[in-house]
Amino acid sequence: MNLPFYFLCAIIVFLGTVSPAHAYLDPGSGSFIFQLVLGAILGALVTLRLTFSRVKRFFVAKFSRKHNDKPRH
Amino acid sequence: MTSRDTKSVRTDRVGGSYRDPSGFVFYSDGVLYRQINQRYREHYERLMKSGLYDSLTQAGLLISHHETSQPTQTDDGYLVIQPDIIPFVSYPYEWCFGQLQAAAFTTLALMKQALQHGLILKDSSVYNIQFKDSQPMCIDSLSFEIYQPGQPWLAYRQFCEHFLGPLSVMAYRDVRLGQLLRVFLDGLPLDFVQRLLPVTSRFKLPLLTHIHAHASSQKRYQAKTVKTKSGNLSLRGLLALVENLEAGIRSLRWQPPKTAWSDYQTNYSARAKQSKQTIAAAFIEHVRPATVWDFGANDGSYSRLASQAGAFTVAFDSDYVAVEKNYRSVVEHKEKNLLPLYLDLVNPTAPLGWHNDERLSLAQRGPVSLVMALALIHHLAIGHNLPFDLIARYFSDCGTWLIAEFIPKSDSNAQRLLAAREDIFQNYTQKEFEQSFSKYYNIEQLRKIDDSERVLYLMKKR
Repeated sequence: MNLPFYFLCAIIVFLGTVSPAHAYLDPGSGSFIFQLVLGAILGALVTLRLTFSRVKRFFVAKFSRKHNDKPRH
Repeated sequence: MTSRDTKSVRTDRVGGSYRDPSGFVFYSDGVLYRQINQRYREHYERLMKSGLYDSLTQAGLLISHHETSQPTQTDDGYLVIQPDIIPFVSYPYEWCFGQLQAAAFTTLALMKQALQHGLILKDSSVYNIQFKDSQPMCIDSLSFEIYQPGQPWLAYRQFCEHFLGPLSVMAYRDVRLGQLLRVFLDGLPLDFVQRLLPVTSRFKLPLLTHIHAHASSQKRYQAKTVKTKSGNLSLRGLLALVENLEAGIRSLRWQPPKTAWSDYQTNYSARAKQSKQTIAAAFIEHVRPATVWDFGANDGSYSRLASQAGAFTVAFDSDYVAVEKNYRSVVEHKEKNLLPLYLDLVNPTAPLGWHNDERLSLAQRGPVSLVMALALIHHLAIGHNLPFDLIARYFSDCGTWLIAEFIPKSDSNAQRLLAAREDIFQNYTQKEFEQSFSKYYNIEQLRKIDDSERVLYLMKKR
């Protein structure tokens, strides 16, 4: 687990910046970095899943249309 | 929020309310208020105007409040609000597994709903959650702030330490490890959780990530400074993180095994049980209590006589199995007025935290109208060598009225306690019992339970 995790830590270098509005909790350095990495991975997985289902829907729709377009006897 | 006994009218700031500069909780003339400071004004107004407050309060996830014209306590104050009353403030080390798990789900539900309304949950302290009937709800109205796109969840670590860590060790090792929260008030350190968990926990993805990998990351960066202002997490990533935590919490299960006391009541006849219920119900009807503490409540059968009569009843037991079963029954039947809690009566909850003033002892959360001690005193007297006098004294500190059951030494359950030890309890007699309790109480009624040698007493504090 640790290898892909530390490899992906590099991702955060390219991430932008934002200031939390009203932070009083110490998020912890290790926890903060870990959250960014894990969140990025989980977010990417969601994006992949959504993209896959869109592509699948597209082809299913196309196939169904073609199928429906066939002349009926 | 809780209202204290009206006899001791408080006008001071609540001991545990010091961490968040957004505001604080205080008593004025015995009434509990929350001050909102100027620096939180914008966030409070967004909470109220965005629809989040209405949505959460209607769902029973956030305590309701109303705005008052009370003067602020400090110069930086903006507004004083008065929250609704929580009948009894309980702590996570008094909860069973199911209660802590339900509190975790509530916290994640708050986070998700906040994000839907353009806000974020800024802290995820387990102490922000209290039970109102069977519903866990947030009692900290200042837990939300305006969400800025790209903002990570600063309370992520806190959630893992306050909820996921404790629940995972309870599920994987032993449910009694929930008591660790009594020592680690700020949640279980993840490196500690990691050491407690078995290797097999790594096969569960949410635990592999949120506990094991998370703990490794903490260790790696513990001496390094990371600017938390630099860091960006997409909303999709943030929601996926929350969903993943939710899946992790849901995957943790604890099935109560059979224990010595979980089928305790089957030890005497149905006729005796019926008689005991009738007498106890008549005593409760006589007292008409507003609040009840039932010590040694087991599955809560007798607690329900009080809760169903309209008294807010806390059903304490030192057996996690009994508390879990009782809680599940409360949830299943959507029962009102009944809160099952874990309590070891010979070591009751102490005052904890800074100045021993953050988390209250059991006694500080009383007194109640009525204490019930059914099939309990022989455990304290024979099982723990406690003299009747000390038992009576503690009970009289806890409440005005007492329903107590005396079980003679000849009873099979008392004999079971004596089976493996020498009988040094020459003073364990009904006469001694009455004499000792009479120092603190007037014995109002005494009724023998049918088909048994047991006796029920109704007493009133002197």
